[in-house]
Amino acid sequence: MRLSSGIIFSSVLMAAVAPAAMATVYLSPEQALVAVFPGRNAADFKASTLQLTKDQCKAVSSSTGLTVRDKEIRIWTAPDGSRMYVDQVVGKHEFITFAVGLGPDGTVRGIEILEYRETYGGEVRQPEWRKQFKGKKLGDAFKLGGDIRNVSGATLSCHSVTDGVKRLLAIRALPN
Amino acid sequence: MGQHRDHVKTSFFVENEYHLQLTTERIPAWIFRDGPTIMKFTQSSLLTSFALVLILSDLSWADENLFGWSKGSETLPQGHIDLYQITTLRTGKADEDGSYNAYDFETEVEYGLTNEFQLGLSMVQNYFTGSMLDNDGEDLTETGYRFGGIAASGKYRFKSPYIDGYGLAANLGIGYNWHDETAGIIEHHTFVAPSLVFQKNFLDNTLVTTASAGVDFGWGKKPAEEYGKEMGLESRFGAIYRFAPGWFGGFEGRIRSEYPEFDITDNEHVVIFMGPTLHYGSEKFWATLAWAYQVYGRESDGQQEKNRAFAEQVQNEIRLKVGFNF
Repeated sequence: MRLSSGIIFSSVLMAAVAPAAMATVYLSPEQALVAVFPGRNAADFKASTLQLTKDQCKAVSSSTGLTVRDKEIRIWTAPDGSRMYVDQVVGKHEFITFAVGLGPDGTVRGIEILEYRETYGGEVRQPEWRKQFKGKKLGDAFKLGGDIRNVSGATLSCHSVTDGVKRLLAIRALPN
Repeated sequence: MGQHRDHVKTSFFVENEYHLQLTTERIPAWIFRDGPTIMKFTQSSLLTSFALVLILSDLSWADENLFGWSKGSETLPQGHIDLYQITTLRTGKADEDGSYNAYDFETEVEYGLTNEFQLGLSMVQNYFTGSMLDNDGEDLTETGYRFGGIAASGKYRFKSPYIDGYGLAANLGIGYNWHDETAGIIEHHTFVAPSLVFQKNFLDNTLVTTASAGVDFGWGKKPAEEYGKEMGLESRFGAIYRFAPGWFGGFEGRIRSEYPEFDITDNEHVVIFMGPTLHYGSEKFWATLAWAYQVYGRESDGQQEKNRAFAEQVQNEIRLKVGFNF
């Protein structure tokens, strides 16, 4: 077999067996709102989109040390100032879509995993892991293995979601 | 014609009678038989390996296999199993030698004993084809199936790139080969191969870089080699970027040098391979396709051509790794 034939054969084989990624949707944003803010009605929240400017992205990166991947963030805002942000973070192969609910004082009320597509690492959906974010606020360490417990086998997912929450708190603190 | 290339031909073809003689005397008959049976055995062995992958894939969990040859520092979670099939085509020697193709089929299973320590077992099968010519232009092709050997490995993770900012792991591999990988010559080769792996991620973990350094000690290299003991030093490095969900593209390289009789002052040959790597991963399946091209080689006897070493190495290696996750 010649080299070119080998490469072509392997490439075709790889392409043939590569299936289209299938998203596993666990919650809609409306369902996440009810889960994060128990007793509240999803209709109380108004949906909008925040478009970050280049300077705002730089400010967030500067304060957190994290990259801002998506400049467009979906927000649901209640009259009392409660907000829920929906964003994506990097999983091993796909993106993890998650929601963070913040009270009027800017503390975390809860987080939910909306879409998860990875083979393993789904332990980030466990309530025991997610509830440790409750009460977290801007300025907390958000150190995986420190103030945030790691779940073995889901380290990358834990790391990404932890960073994602920290980043959204910094985005909320941006001057209007 | 260089001493080492002559040695390859001698080992592979001229000494084949000795090879067959040894085979019938010293290894089980089911491992190696004559032509038609070789083909049947090859097919059945490969089918068995593939079936094993499919059957056990219900238990499998993906490991970090973003690269063809380089490894990451992460280990399997406790109680998880990783099973995959590696197929490698090694092809190309010096032009005047004719053609050389060797297929390596490696089936490997890994198990996470703890969250930081994993064990692995693997077996290698080889299939040789080609049309190698001797100095008089006579075709000395000898093709066929060989059962390469078995190996066990342990990997301990000291640091995780997701928790500590960088990854660090130690590997130890031990194994036994019945046939050498260059020409399928029978041997009784025992090896021990410790190595260290470093990993650093960038850009929100979308850019993964690794570097490793290892040494391998081998005993029982005769008659495939002219000497009984050999030491190899190997460094590997790679960088790969996630350019789309599920898809990674990058490059990797490795530098290998070998020293007969463990004599660090006697460098038999040194080679440098470099090439691209493409990785696809999804919830159910992952695959890595990598190409390694020998960009530089030097033989100790100075007989290499165009700065390439072909006595034990080839011009190109293509590797396809496949894992299934359910």
